[in-house]
Amino acid sequence: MALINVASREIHCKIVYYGPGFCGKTTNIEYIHSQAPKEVKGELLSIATETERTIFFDFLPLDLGTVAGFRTRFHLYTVPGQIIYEKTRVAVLNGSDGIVFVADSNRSRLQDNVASIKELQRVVSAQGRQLADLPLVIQYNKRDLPSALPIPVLNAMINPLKRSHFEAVAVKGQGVFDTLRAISKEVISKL
Amino acid sequence: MADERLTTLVVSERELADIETLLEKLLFDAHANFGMVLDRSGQLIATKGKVPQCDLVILGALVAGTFASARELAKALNEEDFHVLFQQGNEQHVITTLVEEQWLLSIIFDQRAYLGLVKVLAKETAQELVTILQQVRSHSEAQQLLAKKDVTTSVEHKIDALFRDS
Repeated sequence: MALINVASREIHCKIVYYGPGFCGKTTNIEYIHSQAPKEVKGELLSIATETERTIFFDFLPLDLGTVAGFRTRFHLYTVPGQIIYEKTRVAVLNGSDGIVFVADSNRSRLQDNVASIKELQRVVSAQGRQLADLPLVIQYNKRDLPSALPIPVLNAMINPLKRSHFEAVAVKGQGVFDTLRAISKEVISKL
Repeated sequence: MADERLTTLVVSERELADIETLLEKLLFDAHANFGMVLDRSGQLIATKGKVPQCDLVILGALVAGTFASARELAKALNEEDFHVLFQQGNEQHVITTLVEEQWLLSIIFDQRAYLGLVKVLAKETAQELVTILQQVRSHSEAQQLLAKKDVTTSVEHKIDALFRDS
């Protein structure tokens, strides 16, 4: 749920990157942090295990500066992807304005993707919301893998709501900003 | 009526001033160092007192994340809720309390303050904040404001300009 502070003339929006383990959520955020203009990006916070797996969340504040008299900020979060951290994902999703579902295109990860999107639907419902009502964009990551499934197959299994989808190779930055632009605009249009 | 969790909350100048007055009084009465009111998504609404030596935006994200995580722990233990979260350090301590289901009130204090007093006063302040929150929810300034300012279109242009490879 976005917040508009009239006194300080600020608009705040929260975007969460969701998806199964190793799908590339943190890679997306790290790429954005490496490429976004200095005046836009804040400090990247990662709460990770010793093996650099996300244990709580990654957090990157982006400040678009003053637009039409309002300072506009997007806060990007990732959730931990491993199955055991479902309750942590519930916590991070709290108050989100928009979601990027990052799917792993690898054929062997199809069931993990399906399980993750079903969990997302369940978690959002438990918070009294419906996924159909929320700004949501799908990113099919790891498109450079020889074992990547065709987009129509992925769409049929992961994207029944027929939301905007983007192909990506996040580790090279491909598709990362296309995804971010799409979800940011959806969130703003729903304010 | 729209689900209020999907509705943009607009905090007016008057409401922000009221929140800051409450925070100021709480810090004075409790001998606490720093107080903040934030949305449960971690976005800061108001701060008062001696600003800690850290990035406040990150502080907000961590407080909200920790509180949300504690609530899931409560559910796992079949506890209805953890209403207050207390974090104890060597020199500084943090108390965070929920303001209905929407906001969080977080207070940082040291040995000058008594934990019990901070807890009681934080609870009282949280109750007073509920009144302001209800005012915030009751007005529909957001739509008028955004329509008038044409903020949406301008932000979209800025998104196109800034969110791209350097």
